[in-house]
Amino acid sequence: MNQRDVDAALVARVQRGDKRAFDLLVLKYQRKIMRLLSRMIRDPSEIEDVTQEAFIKAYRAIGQFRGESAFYTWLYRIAINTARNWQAANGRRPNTSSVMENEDGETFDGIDNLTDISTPESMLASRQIAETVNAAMQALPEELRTAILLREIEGMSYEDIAQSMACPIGTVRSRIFRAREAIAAQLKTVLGDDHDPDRRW
Amino acid sequence: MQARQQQEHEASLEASISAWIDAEADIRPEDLDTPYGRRVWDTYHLIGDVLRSEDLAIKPSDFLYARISRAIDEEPPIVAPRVPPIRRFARAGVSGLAVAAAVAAVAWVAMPYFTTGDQVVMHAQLQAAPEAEGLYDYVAAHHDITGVGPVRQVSFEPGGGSR
Repeated sequence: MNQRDVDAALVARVQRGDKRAFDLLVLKYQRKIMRLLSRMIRDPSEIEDVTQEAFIKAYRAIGQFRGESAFYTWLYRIAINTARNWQAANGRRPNTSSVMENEDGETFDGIDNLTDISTPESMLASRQIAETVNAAMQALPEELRTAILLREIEGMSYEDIAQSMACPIGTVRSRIFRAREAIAAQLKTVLGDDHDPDRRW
Repeated sequence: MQARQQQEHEASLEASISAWIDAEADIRPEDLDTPYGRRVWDTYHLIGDVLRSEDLAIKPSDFLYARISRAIDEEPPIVAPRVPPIRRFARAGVSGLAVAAAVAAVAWVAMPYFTTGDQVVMHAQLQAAPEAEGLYDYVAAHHDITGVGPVRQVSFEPGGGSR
């Protein structure tokens, strides 16, 4: 099982009428889509509108998704097309010169920074999130930090991490979970009201 | 007591979500259909995004997720993968054609066994037709060679002989 299988399981649920499964895909990919669209749309206030439109278009088309490509690659195409349509409808000049794409549909460029989604508030929030995650990582015990880095950065399976760290798979599972919990606990104050279940969710 | 059970359940759910995110266990989306479950799912993905790239340390503005979720609620549900109409018709056409071809083949092969009387009449017609007489002699001369297998028998039916 890999990340593609997780997405495929959620897509299959959506295709059988489970709208809440689509919510999980939205939560998983909303930041990547916003980041992508921020390179094409200059006005920060419009990025979330186009993000919303892209996800709705993806939902409407998900019946045709057959899994030939990764879900994110498919979603990425829809987001790009949505942004281009938005640009055309609003008479905006395309701003895609800095966007590059690898074979997995990931984007990158040479001037990546935090200024694309650039209201002062969002820049502050982004900086706080990044600093909090980094600080929480530094505060983790070595074995927890190593386990989550091998998983999130290197993309290793629990089995490979277990071999690398010479411990049982169950221990790897526990270390990664505890690392996430420790970082999430620090993030609660930064994420604030948006993560109040009664308001946002 | 109840609070302790709730805490244990949440701890167990968080551990499960962690494994689901890493594709190390079969995901159960129905267990995430709570505000708390979605919040944990979102926060764990945020942590992974930020560890991979600080550019993804993005905090969507208030209620983006809620807006999208509401908009999806207003969409008609998807109950099955949609197949483009033209492909559905093409599939039905191919199936119908296959059935018709099978019936025609069976009828073509079986017909000689049910048309003995007609054959006599047709033979008589052939004999009566001067232009077919030579052809009938030709076919009759080859009768012994070709045998009486169903396909070969059909090959010298009047339809074949008139060509």
